[in-house]
Amino acid sequence: MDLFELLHYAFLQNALSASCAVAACAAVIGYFLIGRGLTFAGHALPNIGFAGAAGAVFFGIAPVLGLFAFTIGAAIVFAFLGKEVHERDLGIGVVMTFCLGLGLFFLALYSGYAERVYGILFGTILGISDTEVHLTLISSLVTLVGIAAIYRPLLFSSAGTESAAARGVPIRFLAVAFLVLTAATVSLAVQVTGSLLVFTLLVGPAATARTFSRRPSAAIGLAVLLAEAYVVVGILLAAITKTLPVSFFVASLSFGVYVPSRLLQKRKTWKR
Amino acid sequence: MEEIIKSEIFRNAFFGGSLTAVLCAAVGYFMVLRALAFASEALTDIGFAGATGSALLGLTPFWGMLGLSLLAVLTLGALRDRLKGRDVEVGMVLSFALGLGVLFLSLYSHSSGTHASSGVRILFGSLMSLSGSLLLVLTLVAVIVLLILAATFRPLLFASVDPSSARAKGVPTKALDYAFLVLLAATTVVSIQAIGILLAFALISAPAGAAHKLTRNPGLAFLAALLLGLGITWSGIFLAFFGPWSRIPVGVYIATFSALIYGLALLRDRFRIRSRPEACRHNEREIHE
Repeated sequence: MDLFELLHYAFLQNALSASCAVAACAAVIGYFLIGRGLTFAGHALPNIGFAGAAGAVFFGIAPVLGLFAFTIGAAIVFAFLGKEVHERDLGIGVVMTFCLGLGLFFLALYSGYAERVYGILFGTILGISDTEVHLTLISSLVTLVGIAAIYRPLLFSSAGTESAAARGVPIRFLAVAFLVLTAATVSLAVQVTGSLLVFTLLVGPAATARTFSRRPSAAIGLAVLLAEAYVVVGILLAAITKTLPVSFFVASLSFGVYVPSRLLQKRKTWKR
Repeated sequence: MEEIIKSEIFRNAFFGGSLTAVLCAAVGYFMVLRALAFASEALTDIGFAGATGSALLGLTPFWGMLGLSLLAVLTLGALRDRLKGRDVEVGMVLSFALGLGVLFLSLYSHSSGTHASSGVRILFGSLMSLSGSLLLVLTLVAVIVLLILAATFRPLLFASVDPSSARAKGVPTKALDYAFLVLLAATTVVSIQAIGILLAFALISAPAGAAHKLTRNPGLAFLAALLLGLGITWSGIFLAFFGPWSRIPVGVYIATFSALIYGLALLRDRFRIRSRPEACRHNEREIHE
C-alpha cells in the first residue's frame, strides 16, 4: 500500500501523535533513569502497572486509576530502597514479583473478559481514540515541564550524590519526585504502547545517546530524536506489513542502532 | 485430604515445586552475591520469547527457552565481562528479546487463529499442570546444575565475593562468570516451567536475598536460602491445595510469601544496623563494600 495514502487514515495519525509524545517523555526520563542506575525500575514499573490495571478491572473501576495507584506507590517504595544499586535491584525485583502475584490473584478471581488488562501487556497503539491522544499530549507536556523544573538539581544529584548532598540539594525529595514522574510517564505510556514498548523507549534511545555524547543536553536531545525516529519508522513499518507488531520493530531498531554505537564507543576509549 | 496427597497432580506439583525451590535458592545465592538481579529477571523474560518462538515452530517450549536463554547469556557475556552495576546492556538485550517474543506471539496467533491473550498462559505457568515426562527433564537439568554448583562451590564463592583476589590467586574468574550465567539460564528455564515466567524471579531472588541479609556466613546463608525457598514453596502448595480459596493459583502465595520474607529480613537488617554505634556501622559498611 502507498505510504502517503496510509498517512491519511485517522488511526495512523492518532498512533503517530500519541506515540511521538510518549517517546519524547520516555527518552528524557530514560536519560536520568540510566544515569541513576534505575534501568531495572524502568522494567519493573510497566509490569507493576499491569498488576494495577488487573486490580482496577477486578474492582470494577477504570484501569487508569489502578495503573497510577500501583506505579506511583511502587515508585515511592523504590525511592526508599537504599542507595546501593546492588541491594536496590533485588528490592525492586521483589516488589515487582509481589505486584505480579497480586495481578495474578485479581485475574484468577475475575470471571469477566479481561481484554483491557491484556491490552496493557501487549499494547493497542493502532487503536487509540482522539480523546486518548489529547490526554496523552497534555500529560506528556506536564511531565516534560516537571522534569524541566527540577532539571539542574536532578542532573547534579544523578552525577554525584555526595557532593550534591553537601551543597544542600534535597536528594531524597529529588529521588521521590523523579520516580513519581517516571511512574506517571509509564502509566500514561503503557495504555498507548503496551508495557514492553515503554521499557524499550525508556532505555534504548537514552543508552544509545549516552554512547555518543557526555554532555547531558546533547545526549538528551539525541535520545529524543532517536526515540521519535524509532516510533515513526516502527509504526509505519507495522502499518505497511499489517500483521507485525509495532513493538517488535521499535525494539529491533533500538537494539540494531545500540550495538554498533556501543562497539564504536569501546574502540574510542581504547584509543585514548 | 489423603486422596489429594495420593493424586498424581499433587505429587508432581510437590516434587516439581521442591526441586525448583532448592535449585533456585542454591543458584540464587550466588546471583545475590554477584549482584545479577536484573540479568536474572531479564533471563526469565527472555524465556517468554523462547516459549513463544518454539510454539511458532512447533517445538517443545523447554528447548526453545533453553536455546534462547543460552544465546542471551553469551551475548551478555560478550557485551561485558563483569555485569555488575552495568544494567544498560542487560536492558537492551531484554527489550530486544521481548520484541522478538511479541513478534512470535503475534505470528503464532495469526497462524493458529488463537488470540494473543493465550500467550498470557505462558506468562503464568502452573505447578498444577506439570506432566510426568516434563518433570523428568526438569529433574535431569536440575541435578546437572546442582552437581556443577557443588563441584565449583569454593572457587565460585571466592570469585563471587572477591573477584580481584580470586584472579590473583589463579582462579579462572572469567570462565566462572560464563559458567555461572549458563547455570542461571538453566535454572530460570526450569523454574519458568514450574511456576511461570512472571513469578520465577520470586523464587530465585527472595529466599537468597533474605538469607544474605540474615547472616554473612556463606555456609549458613546458603542453608538458610534453601530452607526459606522450600518453606515458601511448601506453604504455597499446601494453601493452594487445601486452603479455603480454591481459585487462587500457587503463584500468588509464592509471590506473597517471598515478598513477606524478604521484607522482614530487610527490616531486621535495618533495625540491627541502627541499634549499633555509629563507628561500628561505618566499619560494617566498608567491610560489605
